Amino acid sequence: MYRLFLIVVWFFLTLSFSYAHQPVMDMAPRWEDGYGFQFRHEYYGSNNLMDSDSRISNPLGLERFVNKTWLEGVYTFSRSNRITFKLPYVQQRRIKNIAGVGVKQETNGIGDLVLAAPFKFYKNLRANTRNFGITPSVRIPTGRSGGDFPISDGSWDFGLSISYSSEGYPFGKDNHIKIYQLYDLFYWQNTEGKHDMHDGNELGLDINIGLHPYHNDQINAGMFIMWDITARYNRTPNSATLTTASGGKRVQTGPVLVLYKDNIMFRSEYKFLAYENTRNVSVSRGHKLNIGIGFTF
Amino acid sequence: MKLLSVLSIPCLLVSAFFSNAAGSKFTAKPNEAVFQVHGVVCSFCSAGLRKKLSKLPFVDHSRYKKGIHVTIKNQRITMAVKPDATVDLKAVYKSIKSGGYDLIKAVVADGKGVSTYYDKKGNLCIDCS
Repeated sequence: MYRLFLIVVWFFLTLSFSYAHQPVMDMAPRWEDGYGFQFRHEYYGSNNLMDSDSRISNPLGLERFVNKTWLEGVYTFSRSNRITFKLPYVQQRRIKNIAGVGVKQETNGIGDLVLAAPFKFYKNLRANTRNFGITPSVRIPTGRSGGDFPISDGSWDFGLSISYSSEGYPFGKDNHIKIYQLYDLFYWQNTEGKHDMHDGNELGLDINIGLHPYHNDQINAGMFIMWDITARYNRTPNSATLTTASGGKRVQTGPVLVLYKDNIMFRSEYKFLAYENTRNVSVSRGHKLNIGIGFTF
Repeated sequence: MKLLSVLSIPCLLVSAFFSNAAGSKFTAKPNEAVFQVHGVVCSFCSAGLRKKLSKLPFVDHSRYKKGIHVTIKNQRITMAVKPDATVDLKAVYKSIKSGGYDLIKAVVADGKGVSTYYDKKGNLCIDCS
């Protein structure tokens, strides 16, 4: 039990991060002509074979592991209007069942570029700031779609998200500890790409709830401690799809630690798989690690 | 059941720790201006305030960090003002707005410590202390 506690603490302190699919930070920069960028590393994967919501035996040793290193950027025209980009470098490997044999495949390369234009409507109350956001996005097929293990299905995809976030003292008093919360509901309409591949549409909900328990005005530094809940519903890819896309429903959840000093923010996040239903026989998505550092100017 | 247990963790986090801090008086020291700004609860988010306000010509960069100190505990911004300089409140209001926030009231103290209070529109205010 003590070892389990140490493992949890270790994950909590050293791993994990990020605002789900939203580029850069939700909170900044909110000033005119502000800009920022973020490096974020994401890792997920598993060698558990699932049939719907049941783990089944995996005699061929099928597996799928994905590393993505994201470069993300934002420019703020005004606090209501921003543009963002996300570009991943993908390293992926899997063992796939091909004619009854487990075949190892690996691919590296640039992934699909995501451009978005968040519109945020702010409301500043006494000790509380909140915003409602609408974010249209487009995913441009810059990733390689050829070969037997492509990074992209080669399609132009279109997304729309609605979000709400707030930070402050929920009861309007000057409490020592503030609450942060983010709710983000989004949908990606995936179109058919190259070689008849179609990754399938995606519906998602991200929730971040937590505390802002420490801030030091003198050194302008502090921390957030949050809990992240990520729910996804993915339509099953068509049979021509050779990417890592897989259908099903899943909920991943875990702790988030955010540290900041001046214009630098570090965020880490570990999410374990709380629920998964692959709707057919498929390798599980497994747990997810996220770690990132962002700068705003 | 496992999912319910997981979802209950944020609720526990939310319900944890509440205590009131004593409110502080709205005053300014000599050659300083203090601005009450709604929504300043995260210093990382409010970095734009320092960026915008520090560019104003009457800000004394030799004090605080670039002449600006943000206190998120009570959502106040303290500006160090150059001796004998006049604070252009319209410019301050514009900078706070472009920094992403909304000003509520201000107090400006001259070199002798005489304070003048202003409301969110820049009008003199006798009830703003």
